[in-house]
Formats: sequence, structure tokens, C-alpha cells
Amino acid sequence: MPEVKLVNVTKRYGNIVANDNINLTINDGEYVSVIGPSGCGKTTLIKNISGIIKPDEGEIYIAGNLVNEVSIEDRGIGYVFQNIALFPHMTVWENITYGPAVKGWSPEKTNPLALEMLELIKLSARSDAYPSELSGGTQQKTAVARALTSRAELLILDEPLGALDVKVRTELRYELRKLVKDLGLTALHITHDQEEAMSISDRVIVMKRGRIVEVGNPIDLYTKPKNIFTANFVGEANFLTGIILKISDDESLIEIGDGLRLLTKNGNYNVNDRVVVAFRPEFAYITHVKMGNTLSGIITEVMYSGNIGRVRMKLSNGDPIVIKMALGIKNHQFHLNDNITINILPENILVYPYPEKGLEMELALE
Amino acid sequence: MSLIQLVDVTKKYDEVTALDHLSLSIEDKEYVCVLGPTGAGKTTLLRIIAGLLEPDEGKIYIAGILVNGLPPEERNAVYMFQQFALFPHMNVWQNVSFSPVIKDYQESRIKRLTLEILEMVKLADRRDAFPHELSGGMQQRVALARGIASGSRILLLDEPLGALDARLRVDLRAQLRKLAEDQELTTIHVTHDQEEALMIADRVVVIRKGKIEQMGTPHEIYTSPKSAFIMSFVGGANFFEGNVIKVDDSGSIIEILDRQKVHVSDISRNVGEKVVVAVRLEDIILGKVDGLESNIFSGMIKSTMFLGSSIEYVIKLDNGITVSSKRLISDAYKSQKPKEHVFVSFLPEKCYVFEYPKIGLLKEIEAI
Repeated sequence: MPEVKLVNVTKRYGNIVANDNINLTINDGEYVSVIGPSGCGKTTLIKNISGIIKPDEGEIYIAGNLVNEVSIEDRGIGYVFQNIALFPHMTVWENITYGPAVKGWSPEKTNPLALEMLELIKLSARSDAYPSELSGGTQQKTAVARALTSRAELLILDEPLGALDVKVRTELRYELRKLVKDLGLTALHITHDQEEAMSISDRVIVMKRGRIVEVGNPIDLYTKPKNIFTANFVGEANFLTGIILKISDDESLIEIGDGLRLLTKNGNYNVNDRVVVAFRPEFAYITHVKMGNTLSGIITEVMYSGNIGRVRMKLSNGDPIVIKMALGIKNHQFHLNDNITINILPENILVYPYPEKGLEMELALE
Repeated sequence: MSLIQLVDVTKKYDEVTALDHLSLSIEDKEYVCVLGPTGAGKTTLLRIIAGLLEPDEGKIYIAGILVNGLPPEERNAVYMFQQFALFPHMNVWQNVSFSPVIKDYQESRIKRLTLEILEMVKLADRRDAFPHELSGGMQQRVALARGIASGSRILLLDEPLGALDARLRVDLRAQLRKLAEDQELTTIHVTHDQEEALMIADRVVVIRKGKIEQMGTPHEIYTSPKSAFIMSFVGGANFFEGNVIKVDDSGSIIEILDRQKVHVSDISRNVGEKVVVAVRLEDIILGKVDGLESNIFSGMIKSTMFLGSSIEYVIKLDNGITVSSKRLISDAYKSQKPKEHVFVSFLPEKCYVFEYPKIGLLKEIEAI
């Protein structure tokens, strides 16, 4: 059973270090996603593991065996790519049973699995159709099914759902994870969709400029990101700068300008330290009683995304922030230029040292 | 008068009807998102307005002028699609100032205009870079700048953010919207991403099989969906099929499955009618609601899915039905774990009732 281990893996393209001393272990049976901005090295990472390229330095182990010199075919890896071309002269059924047939599997072994795949992608009724008769999305799903039918124990998925409609993608990702878990595979999944990574993975790897910035389970990564880049990349957040005013036990009082102060749980700083405070838009509450920190401001923009109200407001220190709230049972109404007071609990405020190169640089996605 | 008008437009590709007698009016400076599943006819619609395709039937007016047969460059509209087609051998400055409209201008005017537009898309400091040296988001902004430099008043955007990182897309869509507003452009933006459409559009047009299924403000589309399809495609919902067994002033009772009753506020249906009841994921409450006597079911948590800002619960009810509930993570029930026993409830006023679709419920809500 495949555990994947990378030790000090580096890969350069000219002056660009695409993978910079990567150390990583993916456990047997684990579903791991890799996210990061374009050019962060996530594709290079899976090319190194799959054997499409060779690292300049470092070792790659699959199931305990050093595979640096092992060819692509002999690494026991199944691939799903975003743009797999189907065989145009073969039907859906022939396409998805092609891999097993080449491997010499009997129809008794292949057929139930192929049927399961067809059912999963809701294509049972179209098994005799040719790719040209299918929509782009449906072709893509057939390609996913084909790769899964000729399965290996380690599955590498490079944007497998990237070409599909949002709604189809949402349905399929859950099925994809279930399938991987049911079959006991180890999966490494690259995506540009943070929500997809969160929903599908046991652990998520965040990469930036060739390095691993942070690895963690989705909930920790979202609610307790260890650095500013992760906080910004895995979801929306408000970032404000401040100075530590007071420290007690495990709490810090932070001044964010114009006398506005926030009490936070994180106490690992010194008085007068310059810091960045961050909180997610949905962790702002509107309550009748004071709860945690309160911040007031003027509403400058109101948008609705379905049942979620998104309100942009301007604090008295001039900082703009965004808050997000379910309208559900409460049916909140927001009006432009109204004064609004929000509550933020100390435990929902993240604190980071002010970055050396400035906040804007740290938040840059491109 | 509307700036863009389509009257009874039909376009067929062999057997497939991509646009089916579609009529649509778009106002000056309006930002319209066209939303629909793959194959609904979204791209065909845009290409017909752009003049890249001619309709089989129907008329297209821009600023009151019939433009059928007019070449794209005479329609005052610029068409941009997902794969940014920049000239790879030209730098940012050259790409933007290349526009056929401004290339006849005086040199000083071209310079001023190009700089102004590059500042607008925040790329003035990258004016000497070549496309391959830029990120996807930057390339798309260059393409946008070039489109604006053409002087066209109409932006036709076909999945303009489709090739970008999800996180970057969120930033760029807001910028895009602001740019269109600042420049007083009229925009038609095709997307299959309902969140994108709901966030930035003045008006959303949902098309399906070449026809307009519904149009309205994002709020209208979300809160007053006309069909189970719209409800499923925009926002999503839990769907139950059933029969109306009672209607009075206070509401209706719909029997789902064998003797399971759902109370709804809707009184527009008749006793005996076969209907679909739909409840949004965020309107499914885990636990019992104070004062609510109906619409309470017991079940077991089957799975929880963390989505970042929200959590989705899948609950298998004792009656065999599976329902999903969604909460912002900040409002989430902290202790719910798989296998846990829970009560599920929903308010009668949060139930939508639709006529049972002729093609069947599954086909109706499958947005494929």
C-alpha cells in the first residue's frame, strides 16, 4: 500500500526554483490536495512524484521504495488529467474499459467496476455513445471514469473537475472522495478551487513560490491558518494592521487606529509589536447584547449572494472591512450609509507578526 | 430605448437548436450575467450579438440599429473569451495600443489613452512585460484593457474568469464590475458560475435549452425561482415529490412518500395535484424550532462536509429520504458528527412548491 515520501526535493527550470527543498509525507489511504497560486510549483510537484520529470535533488519514495530512477509506468500510479482526450472511435463503454483490457483483466472483474463508474457519472444510458455525441462536460466525466476504471493504488488527479460546470463539479467531488476511500486508494489532488480542496481532503497542502507554506486538515487551515498567505488564500479574510497595547496571560489588546481596540486570544507577542490582525467575514456577528469585541462603521456596499448578505463597511479608523451573514431565519436588512455595529469574538481573531516585506506583498496572489 | 435588443432569435446547428425564439432587451450601462448549464446556448447568444455568428431567424438591434449582417467591428462591441488571445510577440503596451480603433490616432493621444487604461487595470508598471511573463490574472487584465482600448461601449464576456484560480476570480470579478461601472460600459457576461452571476450582475438571465427560463435581479432569481430547475441551478435545494391533500387559508398539506406530511404556506395548488416541494439547504434546521409542530423529522447525520466558510450536513431521515443542510461555519452546530441522531425541521414559509415537471423531477433538476 502506497505511502508517498519526498525528502529534500528540488527542481529548477533555469533561474526558477519550481520545487524548493520539499519535504512531505502522504500517508497510505490519505486524500491530500495541493493548492496555491499559478506558478507555485504544484504541477511540478506531481510531475516529480509521477516520474514525468526527475528532481535535481532529493529522493522520492513510493511505498517505501526509492523511485527516482523508476519509470512512469512502473510507479503504480493512476492519473486523471483535466484534458484527457478520449478515443474518438470508441464508445463510452469501450473507452472506460480500455485500461483494464490492456492490463488483461477479465470482463468479470472489469464490468462491475465499469458499471459502477457509469452510474456514478450518470452515464449508464449513454454507454454506447461516442465522445462526439457528448457535451464537453460529459466527455470530461467519461475521462474521469476511464482513469478510475484502470485503477492503481496511488491516484494523481490534476484538476480532474476543472473543466466541469460548478454544479456538476460539486456533485462529483463528493463521489470522487467516496470512491477513493471505498477503494482504499491514496490520492493526491491538485486544484485551483479552494472549496474543492477543503471539501474533498484529509489534508491540504498550500504552496507558494516553490515551497510548502502550510499543511493541515481543512478546518484548521481555514480557522487557524499559521500565516497570512494561507489565511488569505484559503478563503476571504479582513486584514488590519495594529500595535500590541497590552498583554496579559494568553490575551493581547491590539490598537488598530483611531482608538479602536481588539482583544485577541493570541498572546505570543510583546507590547509595541507591530502586528496584522485578521478575521473571516462570517465571524462578524450582529447581536443585541455585546459579545466580545465590538466595531462600528458605515455601510458602504451591500451585496447578496443567495442567502448570504455581504456588507462592506468603513471603520472610524478608515479601514474597509467585509462581513458576511446568513439571512436565513433572521432576515437581516442592510441599508447603504447606515451605521452598523458588529461583534467579533477574541478567539476568532488571528494575529500575525507584521511581514518584513509589507502586508500587500504578503497578500499578493499573482 | 434598450441599447441591445434581440427579437425572436433562433439559431440551429443541424439538429440542435442552440437558441430557440429568444427575445431579450439590455439597457444602456447595465451589467447582465447570462447563466446556464453547458450547452444551454450562452456562447451562441454572445457570438450572435458580437456578429461572429448570424442567426437563422430574428433580429438584433444595437442602439436602435438593425445589425444583422453587419461585421463585428461595426457593432461597437468587443468580444472576450476565456483564453486570453494576446499577441505573444508583443509586450503589454503594444498589445493594448494595438487596437484597430486607436491606431489611427495621433501618437500622443494613443500614449495617453493606453497609459490611462493600463493604470485602470493596475498594470502600468508591467507595460514592458510579454504575455508569457505574466500570470493568468494579469494576462486577462491585459486582454480586458485591450478590449476597452478599442473604444467599444459594449463588453461581451464569455467566461472571462473561467481559466483563473478560484481565489483570484473572486478578486477579479469585483474589479471587473467596478471597471465596467466606471467606464459606463454595457456588459453581457456569460458564466456557468452562479455565485459569480449573483454577486456582480444587475440582472441575471438564466437560459436553458436555448430559451430564457427566468430573468431578474439576483435577489429575485434566488428568492422567487420560477421552476425547480432554477431553484436547483441557482443555489440548490432539497426536492421532494408529493401530492396535495389539503388546501385552506393557512396553507397546504402535501403528502410525500407514504403518509409523511409536509406543511407549506403556499396555497396556489389544488388538492390531488402532483407537485414538487423544495427547501433550500440553509432553511433545513438541525433541531426542533420553537413553536413548530409540523415538518419535524428524525434522522441520522450521514456525512459532514467542510467547505471553508460553510459546512454541509447530509442527513438520512428515518423515512428513507436524504436531506442536506448548510450553515456558515460561524453559525454551525458544533457537535454534529456522523452517525449522530438529530431532528430536522423547516418552516412552512420556507417551502417552495412547483408543478410536477413533465420531464420528471430528476431530469428537471439535473443541470447537465
